[in-house]
Amino acid sequence: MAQVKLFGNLRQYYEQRQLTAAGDTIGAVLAELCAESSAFCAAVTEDGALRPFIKITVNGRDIQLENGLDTAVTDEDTVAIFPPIAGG
Amino acid sequence: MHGWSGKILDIDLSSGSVETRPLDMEIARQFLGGRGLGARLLWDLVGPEVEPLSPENVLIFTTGPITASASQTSNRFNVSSKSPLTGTILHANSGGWWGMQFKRTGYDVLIVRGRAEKPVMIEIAPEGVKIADASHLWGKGVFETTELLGQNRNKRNVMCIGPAGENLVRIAAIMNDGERALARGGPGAVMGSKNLKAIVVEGKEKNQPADKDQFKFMQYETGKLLKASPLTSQALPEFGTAVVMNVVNEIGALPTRNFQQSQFEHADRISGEAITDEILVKNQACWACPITCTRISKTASGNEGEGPEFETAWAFGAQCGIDDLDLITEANFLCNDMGLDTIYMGNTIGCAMELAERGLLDSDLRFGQAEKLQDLVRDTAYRQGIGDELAEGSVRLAAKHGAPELSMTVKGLELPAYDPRGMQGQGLVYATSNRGACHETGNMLGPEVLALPRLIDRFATQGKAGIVSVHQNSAAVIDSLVYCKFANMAVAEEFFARTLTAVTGEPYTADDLMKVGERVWTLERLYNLREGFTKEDDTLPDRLLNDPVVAGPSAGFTVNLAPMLEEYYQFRGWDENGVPKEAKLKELGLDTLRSS
Repeated sequence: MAQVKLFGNLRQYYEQRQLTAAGDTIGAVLAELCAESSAFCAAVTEDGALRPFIKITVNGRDIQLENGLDTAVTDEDTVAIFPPIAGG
Repeated sequence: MHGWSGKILDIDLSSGSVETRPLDMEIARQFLGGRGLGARLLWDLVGPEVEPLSPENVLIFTTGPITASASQTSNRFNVSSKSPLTGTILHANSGGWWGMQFKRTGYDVLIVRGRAEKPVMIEIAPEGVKIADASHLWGKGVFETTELLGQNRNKRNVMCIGPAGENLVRIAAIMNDGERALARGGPGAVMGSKNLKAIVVEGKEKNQPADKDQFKFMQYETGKLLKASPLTSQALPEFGTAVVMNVVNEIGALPTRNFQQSQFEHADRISGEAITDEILVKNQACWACPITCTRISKTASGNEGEGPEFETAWAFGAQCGIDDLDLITEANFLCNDMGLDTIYMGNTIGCAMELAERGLLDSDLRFGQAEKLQDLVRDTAYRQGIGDELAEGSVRLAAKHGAPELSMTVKGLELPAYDPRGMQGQGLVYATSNRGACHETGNMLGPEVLALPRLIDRFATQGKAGIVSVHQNSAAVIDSLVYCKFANMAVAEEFFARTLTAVTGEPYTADDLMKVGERVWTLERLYNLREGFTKEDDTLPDRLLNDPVVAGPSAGFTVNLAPMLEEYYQFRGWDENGVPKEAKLKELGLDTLRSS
């Protein structure tokens, strides 16, 4: 199963910061996480699409530049999900 | 006043003269204020013959036309000078309250020249301007000095140097309102070289908008945008600037152990999330700012203060291989009290750690030694032991120990918290920044990582030059108005132009503002060329150009700088040597400066 890391205020929806998910695409991973927490789902998605400024990477690669929610995920992958963030 | 008071306060500490001079309004319209106006005035006042720490160098404190107007984030101000660290043009800006209060004294600009015979302070108040003895303050830290001089946020504001500035440490900061810093490039050393300990301001005048109704409307619209954006209404207030630590690390662009790696295994322990969870007491805002990104933190020893920001947490953290947030925060507080630039300090300690680990520096210093941070900061401020070498900057430190390639600098200024091997555009920003390696002069974090305004491939090089140039011009005009760049995450330049028009009564469009930004950037370039800098200085440390990242998401990448630089010169209308062409200078109204 892929490792899933949550950041910022998304951590409030689960007891652990690092989860696992069995889905083979980002969309499937999100569906799995949404099944556990509807609040998380509402924070990250809207009408089946990602909310603005939600950032998801697979092994450090942003899914926006891959295949979006169809981006493939394998058991060896690390998925990171960020809420809107700014700073620097 | 409607934007500009039209007055410059000009003080010569050698002669003790205090003069009020008119501001050339044509120059004000062309450069607005802040960084732009500072650069334009510096061009006339400080040429290549001037040594940065000599009495002939000047400190030019500039506000902008929107400063103190109560437009959101209109608290910032700028200092311009020639840098004692780099020899380039120096510009640094700060938030807080001092800039607003100085504007209320009725001046747009304060120029400080010369050198006092003994320590002095300047007091600017409705009763007048005076230069007073400050011998009793010399040697004191920033916190005590600020308190002794009667800091009172909305009435009386103190700017001063600490021991680092007094001891001419080349990266000394000028601190305002206790814990805000004009830091990069070493302006505190210039102030120390003038025997000037502090500048205290009290004002009563108001920057009243020419069109009050339009100004109120723009305040309302700007407030709506700041509230609607999750970046400015949630991310920054909730976690502060260090909330980007984890994402920069996750993509493999967090410089670690003097840029030997681009991911830090303990990044989460020094992140914005950790700060909020472990040490945050409360948020704080600068004057007229609804964002409230400032962290007020408390350490285990009970010390409380501002910080750490992202850059500081990185500099004392990943750059030094340290994950002890409490001791990082203590080092931050100490830098504030000593008056030191935290980016420089952490970066240079990281350089010293690598030198020592490689056996090039006779020291038992090693990566990860959090317990040594405070001693190193204090020793640097007082130029004691190894601190005397750190005080000279990592370029001089690394060269002295036979490894100049271990200094992570551009044009002599220490790199901030992004490894450009994982953000190619950021590499071009660093290489071309007029004050040396700097992210604030055109940060590519937005487009290359945060998808702001939209995501571009961070490993691509083609087409980056144009995007970088636009970001640099935008940053230059924001620094000239002077607004906070975080506001720009939610509020576009068009809104800044409309507010500027309401305040000054003079029509400005977003295009006009971007043209000002390009003018400012190009003038800074001319300044550096006049100082003897060339295309050869538009480069990066050898490690970033030639050593591929070993592991992580950026593995295998170096910075492919040459094609980006070539494209950059073309985009800017500069020749192949990076010299602005005559046609470009004419377009920007800078042709008379070139020939003068």
